Amino acid sequence: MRRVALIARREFVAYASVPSFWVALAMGPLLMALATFSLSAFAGRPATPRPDLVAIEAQDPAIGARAEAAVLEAGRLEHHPVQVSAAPDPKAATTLSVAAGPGGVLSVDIRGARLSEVALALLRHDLADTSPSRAAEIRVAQPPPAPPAPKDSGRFGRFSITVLLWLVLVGSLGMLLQAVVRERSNRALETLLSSVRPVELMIGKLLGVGALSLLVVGAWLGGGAAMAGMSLPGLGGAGTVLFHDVASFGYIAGALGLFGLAYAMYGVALIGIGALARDVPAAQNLSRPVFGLLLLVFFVALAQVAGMGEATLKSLVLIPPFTPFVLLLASPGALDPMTVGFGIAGMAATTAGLAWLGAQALRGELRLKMPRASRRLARAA
Amino acid sequence: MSNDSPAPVPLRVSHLAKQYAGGRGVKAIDFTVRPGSVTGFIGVNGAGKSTTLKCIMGLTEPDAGEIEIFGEPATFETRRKLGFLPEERGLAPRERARDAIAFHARLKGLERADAYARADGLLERVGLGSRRYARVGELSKGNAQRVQILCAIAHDPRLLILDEPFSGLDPVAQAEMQSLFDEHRAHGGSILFSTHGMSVAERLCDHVVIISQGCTVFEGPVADAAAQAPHGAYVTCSDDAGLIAVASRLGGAAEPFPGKMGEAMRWRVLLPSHVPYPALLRAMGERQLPIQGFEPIQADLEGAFWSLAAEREAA
Repeated sequence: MRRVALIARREFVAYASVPSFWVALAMGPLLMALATFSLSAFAGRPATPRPDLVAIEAQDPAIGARAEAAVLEAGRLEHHPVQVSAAPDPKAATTLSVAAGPGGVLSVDIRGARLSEVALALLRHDLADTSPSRAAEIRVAQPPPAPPAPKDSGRFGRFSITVLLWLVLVGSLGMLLQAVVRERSNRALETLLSSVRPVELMIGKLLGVGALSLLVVGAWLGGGAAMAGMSLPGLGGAGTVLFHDVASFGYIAGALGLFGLAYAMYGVALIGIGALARDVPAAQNLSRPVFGLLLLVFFVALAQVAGMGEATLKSLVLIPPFTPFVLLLASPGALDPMTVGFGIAGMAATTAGLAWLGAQALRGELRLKMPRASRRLARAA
Repeated sequence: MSNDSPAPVPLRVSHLAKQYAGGRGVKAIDFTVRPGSVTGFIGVNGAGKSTTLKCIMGLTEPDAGEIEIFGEPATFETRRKLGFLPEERGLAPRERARDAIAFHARLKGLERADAYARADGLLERVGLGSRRYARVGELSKGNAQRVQILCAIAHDPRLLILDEPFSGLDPVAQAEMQSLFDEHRAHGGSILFSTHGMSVAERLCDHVVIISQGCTVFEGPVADAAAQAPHGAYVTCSDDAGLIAVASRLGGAAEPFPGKMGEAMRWRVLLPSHVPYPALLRAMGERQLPIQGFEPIQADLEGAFWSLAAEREAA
């Protein structure tokens, strides 16, 4: 444990002692703050929404005029511009028919989009005087409220957190790969391995770079949380709404746990690749498929946020490279606990297998041999 | 109760085998490093020196054989008594010299304060005290090598294993390395180092292990190894038949040896160990052979090495 801690500390210091790391760390929150203030500035500008067109059909022009006046006044009161057409209009969002019924009841039939409560109250008040019976009985009929569309309000928040963790993961994996290749190219790997076990070296490097990643995640999440909690003029707490589902300790803790699992799984793979590679170009070539896979995961995340392929995601949760991201993105309750358990167990098993291979690569027991055809091609090139 | 029990043997390697794909590796390595000795591990490039040392250090898993360290089977814990300088060596260039040494000492179990005190002491001893805070990348190649060696001895190991320690060192650094060897020995430590430089081995070692084609072909004191070397002389003589007859009469053999263009035939005459080379000169004089050149072949480690390697190849 002591050796692991020493390796981890050394790795942490190797990156943290470089000023550019702190500059990069500050960039995330700075960009978030910039984005927040830009949003605030744009949101603060007076909006010019498109006016709603309301067609009014009335046999009695006086009644029609009263109805028109009531609708326009409601628009003014609600800061929502309304245009009124005295004749039927197919472009009208709302059509309002006012007719005198039997017994002097004045009925208002509303079709298309519903009118607001303010508009209805004004209509009732203004039309009361015009009722032929003076009985002030106004019957208003308007379409029943539409059933609420199924809405996953936390999707944006989950997507944002996933993208954030994805970005940090890709950056951390790059650092981890470099950490191993650096020892290889400095020719320090054998010296280290004469003092520590390969698995200790692996865990030490994972923990050292992992601590740096936590620092980055903390800075970025802190920036995000600050943005979500801000009530800047014009923003109206939009952040609070967007991040409502994810702004809980449970979700953040779960997300960090999944990030840790993803980091461990991809990390041991990258350490193995770093140990196999003789130099930086070889490491870059060998690691390309892993980063390609991570890019694919990113597109799957995009597909999920676009509301596509929920069923596909449920099957992807059992494929270890996708598991953490699918779990981060899935809406609450979308996956049954057994599937989640199998997914996580699959990830743990994959991590253990990759760690074993990585340790073999570090010991030099696993070697890459270039196929003969590739060697010929390389010579020809 | 007596305290006179013999010191445990620092290292014993028996029947070690490790084969890589393509046939490289070692087949049958057997040797012992004695307490307080400097043992040279000699072989040509590719003979299996580094593979053997890697097996000893646990950097690679042997296919067969046994390794004992201070009387116990080699494990990660017993290997902590060893200091190792690999052939492929280097340090992180951004690390400071004292940090690098202390880091390696702490990996081997020293406490932080002790590790830094030891690092400072060692740097002082090799004349790098004023550069203790310099980054390794800022040091000259020789000084960086010194720091690397100090990393290997930072935890005061009882057996030091060095893979080609002199490669890339200038004569001054080599002399310093030698003084570190002497100091380590004076403290009761043992040293095993690999080399393909016979003169270095002859100068520094009291024991040598010679390997050829993955097998141990000799193990013992340097003097015994040198005694295995053929001796005789390089002779330039125009009477071929006469020279062959003289060599044969003395129990030796004469074989043509490449000489310079335009010279008379040059011969290598090898004599039995009990026949000194002046006897050859005397016998040639008695037969009145025309001698144009005579250069004695000294029995040294290099000669022994080539002779033993040739024997192994023939076998």
